[in-house]
Amino acid sequence: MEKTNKQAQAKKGYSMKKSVLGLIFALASSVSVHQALAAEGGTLYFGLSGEPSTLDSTINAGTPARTIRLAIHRGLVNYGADGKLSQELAQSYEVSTDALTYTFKLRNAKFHDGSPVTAQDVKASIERITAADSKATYRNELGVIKAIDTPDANTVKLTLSKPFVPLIHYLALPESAIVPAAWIRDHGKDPNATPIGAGPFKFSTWERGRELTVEKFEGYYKKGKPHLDDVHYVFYADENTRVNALKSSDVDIIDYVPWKDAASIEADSNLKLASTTGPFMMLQFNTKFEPFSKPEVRQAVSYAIDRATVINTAFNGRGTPIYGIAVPEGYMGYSKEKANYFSYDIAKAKALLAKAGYPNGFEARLLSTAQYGFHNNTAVAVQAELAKIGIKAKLDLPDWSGRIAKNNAGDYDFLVAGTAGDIADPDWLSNFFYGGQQLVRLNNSAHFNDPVINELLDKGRITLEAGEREKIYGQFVDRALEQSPFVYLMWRDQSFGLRKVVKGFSNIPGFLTFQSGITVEDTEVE
Amino acid sequence: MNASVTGALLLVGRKLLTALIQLLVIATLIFSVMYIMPGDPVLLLLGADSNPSPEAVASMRSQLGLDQPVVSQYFVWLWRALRLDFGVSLANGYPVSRYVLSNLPRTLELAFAAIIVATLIGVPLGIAAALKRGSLRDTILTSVATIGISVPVYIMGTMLVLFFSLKLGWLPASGYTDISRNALEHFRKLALPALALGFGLAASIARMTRSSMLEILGRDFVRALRAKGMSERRVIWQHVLRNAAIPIVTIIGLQLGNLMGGTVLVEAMFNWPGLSTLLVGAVSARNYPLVQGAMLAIAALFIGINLLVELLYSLLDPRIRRKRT
Repeated sequence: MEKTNKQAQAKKGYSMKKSVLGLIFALASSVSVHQALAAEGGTLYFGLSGEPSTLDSTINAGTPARTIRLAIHRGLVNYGADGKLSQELAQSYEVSTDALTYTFKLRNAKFHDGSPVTAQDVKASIERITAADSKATYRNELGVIKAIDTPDANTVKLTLSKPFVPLIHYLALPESAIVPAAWIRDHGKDPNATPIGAGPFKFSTWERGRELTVEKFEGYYKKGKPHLDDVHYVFYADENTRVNALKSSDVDIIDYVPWKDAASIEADSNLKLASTTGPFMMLQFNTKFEPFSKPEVRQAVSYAIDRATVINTAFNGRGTPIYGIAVPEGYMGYSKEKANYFSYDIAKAKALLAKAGYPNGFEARLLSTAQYGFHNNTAVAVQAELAKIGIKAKLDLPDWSGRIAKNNAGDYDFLVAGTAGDIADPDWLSNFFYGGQQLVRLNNSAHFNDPVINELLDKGRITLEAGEREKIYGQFVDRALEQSPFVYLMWRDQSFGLRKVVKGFSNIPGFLTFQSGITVEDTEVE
Repeated sequence: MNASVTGALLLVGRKLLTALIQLLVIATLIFSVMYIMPGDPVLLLLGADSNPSPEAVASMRSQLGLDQPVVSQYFVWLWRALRLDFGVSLANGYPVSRYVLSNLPRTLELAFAAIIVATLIGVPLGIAAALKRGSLRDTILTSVATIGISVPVYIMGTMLVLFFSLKLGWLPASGYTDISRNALEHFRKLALPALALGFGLAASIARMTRSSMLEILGRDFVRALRAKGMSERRVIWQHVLRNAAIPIVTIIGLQLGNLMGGTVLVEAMFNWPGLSTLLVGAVSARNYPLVQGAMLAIAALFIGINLLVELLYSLLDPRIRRKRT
């Protein structure tokens, strides 16, 4: 199959867009024996939904930043195109049976400055994340690493302060990239330093407000990759502009296809849509006060909302209802029967409300944002649905920044959230359900703190045996449904739009859709 | 020094002083508005999805100087701004002045291109309509102009993209190419946004040209010139148009200022990396220094353009110069 593609590419030749340099290089490489038929080289124009605020490899600054960093950097492990863990700078690794030590064997890889990737670089990169003054997004998660030993240049041993099974998944995130120790020493504090990584492409230029360019790294450790000579990441904050840029072939691929435009891209004979259902929409509650402090009320809300209304109102029909908990199929904790624990049942909803002491409903503030249509429209749909059981939702729709501030201050009765788990390990649930010290956070239902749930999540983190873990997360799901601190609404389609001439790019399914940028190393343009 | 030169210098001096006071008032307003708006830059900066700990928030806040009293922040900012130092972007420590310097010329270029488009379309149409007042030509031109004024710039922009890029494929739908890299591509990408921005303006220029021409055409001196036997062409081009020019220049000048506002939509729609694009992104991220720097630049530009227009009047109409001295 791949061979046929490549033959076709070789026949069709090159578009005008590609640079002369690229042409020369491609011709030169096509002469080499092992790729006699491959259409190597070329330029990819990638339209991104925003400009990264920073390229700091330890900070999750949103999907556009991740997409770019996944071209430049690699970690010990990463998530591959199939959504599974893939060994990158680590050739292999071992976890001790008590889940307290992780030992990595490094492969022979090089950074963009030509220096080899050594155990010292790994140590410095992880220490940079866990340092007391670090702003790293996953500092808490990697904070369990107590000691890093480097018995030789190719071996790294991590010792944890307590068992932490999901560690390997946190190490697979783009924010756990390995960068040279020398670079950290000289530029670690400079947010505008030229990034150096061990990924398939090296940083070339960043024209602020416009585009960022990376070019092929000849010393990449995967033979024959990457295929492209360079990638231009062009920033298109406006969604209509982004779609038009794709339709007029100004760019070859765009992220965050707006739902209203998905059909027109599918219908276009030059374009294709790569969709997956990864992120989900849900309602989050402030559980400090009545009525939402009562599980019955939250369950009533779940029974009262016809998910199809939300999907049609806010997502042009492009989504899948959730009547249980948002665990993607194939992830630990997923069970088919519990996936439909709730149903659309007004009578049941009314009965639950009456049982909780609100037979005539009540009034509540629903926080969302006017800045993003799908957030806004989800709130409108929920408002209409809840009116049927007497809950009068008053919409509070500040801009995104104002919404975040209110969310983090707990200044809401309930709110619309659109999010996804960070990792493919079930520990992604902790971020949402765990009570603990900080009871008002972005992703939790404010002041929700259930000892049973906390205990199960703690147990899940330290249990290495898969069958045992499966059981724990099964119990977790039961308890979570009973308590319903969140009401899940739907999986939303998350799509890239591509010109048909683009091959090899994958939209990674599930939560990992936001890390699909890693597959640019496999991407070719005819 | 002769009296008229001194007078002119005095006039310029007084205008400059007024402009500076205006700028100061605007600067104060700009500074305050950001702090009245809800939303916290620190939370956005630490990543909305990462549940930053209260300690991390506090340390970031002090690192950025946002824990200081607002009044002292204001004076620090003003003192620096006087020396053209607008601080650094909260997001990445990149100097605001460099952002503004790279984006300001692009916005200016777009605005000037739109003005040129508008003048080239508007003035001839206005003249043509005025010379055949009440004719079918006049009615058609006037109606088109009325429609032109009423069509919002984002509808115009969308229609242009639909037609010229998606249907015909003649011009790129959006984007920007540096002139030093590829001049042809640069102007191809400038064409649609300039047209979108310039079309509405062309309509108002046409209307203003028409009415201004009509007013002058009705004056006694025009009748006298015609009675003297001066050729119609000379009457129109040398006398009528010259006298009609002042309100036209005024409206072009004023519109140039207003265009700075119009560019917000057009820049976003065409991904033109100008000041407005910068500003919109910065507002969403509550990037205070960047918003303040960009807004101050836009305000300075607006005031500067008005100043220029006023000085230009006096060149066109000596009476204004004399009256004021």
